[in-house]
Amino acid sequence: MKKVITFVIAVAVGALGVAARPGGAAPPASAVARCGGGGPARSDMHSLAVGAGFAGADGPAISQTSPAGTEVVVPPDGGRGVIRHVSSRPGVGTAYVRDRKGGDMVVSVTGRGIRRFATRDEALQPSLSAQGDLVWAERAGLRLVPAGSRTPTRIAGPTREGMTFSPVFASRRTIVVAVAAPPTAAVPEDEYLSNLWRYDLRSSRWVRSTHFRGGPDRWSIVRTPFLAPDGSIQFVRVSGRASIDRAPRYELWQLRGDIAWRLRALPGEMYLAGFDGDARLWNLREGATGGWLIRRERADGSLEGAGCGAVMVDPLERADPDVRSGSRSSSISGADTTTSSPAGDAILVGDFSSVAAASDASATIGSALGSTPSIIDAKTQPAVVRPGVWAVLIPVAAGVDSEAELARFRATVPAFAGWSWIVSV
Amino acid sequence: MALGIFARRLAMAVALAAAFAGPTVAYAVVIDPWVHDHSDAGVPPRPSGYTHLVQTFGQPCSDRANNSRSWWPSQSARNVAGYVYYHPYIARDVGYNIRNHVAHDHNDGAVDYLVGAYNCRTIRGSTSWSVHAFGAAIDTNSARNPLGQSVWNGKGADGYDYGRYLPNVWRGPFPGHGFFWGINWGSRPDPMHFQYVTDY
Repeated sequence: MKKVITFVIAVAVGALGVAARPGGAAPPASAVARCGGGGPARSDMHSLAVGAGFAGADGPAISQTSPAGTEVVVPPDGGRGVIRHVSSRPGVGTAYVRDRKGGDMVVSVTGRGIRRFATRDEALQPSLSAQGDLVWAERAGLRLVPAGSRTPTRIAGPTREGMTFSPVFASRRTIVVAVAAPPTAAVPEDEYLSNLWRYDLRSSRWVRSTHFRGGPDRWSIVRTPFLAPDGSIQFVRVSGRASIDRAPRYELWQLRGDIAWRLRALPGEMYLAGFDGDARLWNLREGATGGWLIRRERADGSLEGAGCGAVMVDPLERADPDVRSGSRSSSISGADTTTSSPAGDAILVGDFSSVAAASDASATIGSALGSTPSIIDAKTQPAVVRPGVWAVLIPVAAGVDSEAELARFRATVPAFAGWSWIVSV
Repeated sequence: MALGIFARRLAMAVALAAAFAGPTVAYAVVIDPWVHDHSDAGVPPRPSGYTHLVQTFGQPCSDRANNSRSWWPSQSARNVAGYVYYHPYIARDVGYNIRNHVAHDHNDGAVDYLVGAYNCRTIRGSTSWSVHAFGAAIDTNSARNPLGQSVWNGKGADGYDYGRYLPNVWRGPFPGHGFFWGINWGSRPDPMHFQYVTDY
């Protein structure tokens, strides 16, 4: 029923580790040395204004990598909040979001200077055109600021309740946008389906470009579309199953016109971070730290270190101001505490449709473990067994790691590995 | 004679009482061995932030994330009970303290569909994993409390309004509960959502 052990994760992580191992040209020393927002920060914004190299959010600063190396740049807006979604357009400039509680600030830095746009809602993934037009996503639509203008124009999205994100200029008159399906009764939050749409600025028409399908369990989403050097759009498609404990699948796709095709499967969780010349750039998580690394793809498909920072992915090392707990957080500490407890963890194996089947299982488990499990039903343990079935209960001794015990049980009695849980009774 | 009338009236009263009480008795759950000590025994600390979340619950969509379960009323539809799966780290809290707390109060009727925990998904439009992918969050009474709604609708599956009974059970103030309530996210309130992590 479940428990497809995530061999895939181990393979993916291993593959990434091998692929990322330096084997070719080493990146500039500063590219790696300054990850984590440390080191001296520079307030000169010239490199941001010309969109030199590529950049990502790195703690409170912007990490910018160019042929000269990686430098930490102080965001020129001087505001408070978390920096995210840093978009560079060579020869044009840089745009990013200053994420704040509630409405955000979109900042663009170009040869025309610094422009700040306060938004009413969450602003996502600003993007600059070759001519300096600025677009970002906000709720179910877009905001467009033509070059030279200081007033955003609202563009309604293609679906009433859908959420737009990751807009990118495919040309001056065409914007490609990801649109997530609205919540449903079966999926009341989070995402189960998104597709790319194309918006024509002259005709003001939306056309759906990809036709992925997704549902309550099998989901399919698109992430991080970028304009490739050949004029196509490349993006990452992620698909998985909500109910299964298995790592999702990651794939690199290409969109030209309204035809999309898969380029290749990816070894694990990775998102496009743009292009450095003809080379793809990737964002990879730095273990469990919440940091994001930037890797450059070599011609043979392997990866090399290129810098750090979150480009179009969400930074994790700093809490999103919109979900920061603040003073209204619920508290763990409180009065009325005692130290003793009648409860204990146990391994539950079930469900069995009859007492006889549960007894057989209990005998098998008992002989394998050298213990005598008990048989329970909803009359004795209504919180963990549904009415009309039976289960086998194996107590876990106090002070023993119950997850380790479950792993040991599954290894010892593999026939019941997919039917065993930790319960507190 | 008088005794016969009394006996008939008593029998009628018992029959009437049984008729009304029957569904309630059938609905209630026997939890005699359960004692709610409101202690923090067996309840681990609540992590804060992404790094601590991963250190505590492991990677999203992992084998560990749905290794525990409990049986909840109105889980998949109104008055259709079902299992809810989550991480063993919160097994004591969800399956013992909170589930039994609701049953012990005879308030199973306060729970309404959907009730769910483990779900391998990302947050909408984000590269960040949902707390559900770690098995560290529970949604309850989802149909009446959709994402974006800034107030809690306390109407249960039985049609009665329980006010904030369920949120108060999930978030404490008992040490053995202590979930963070998503309604407190000012710009994106999520009243159905209770998670065992803050600042993520």
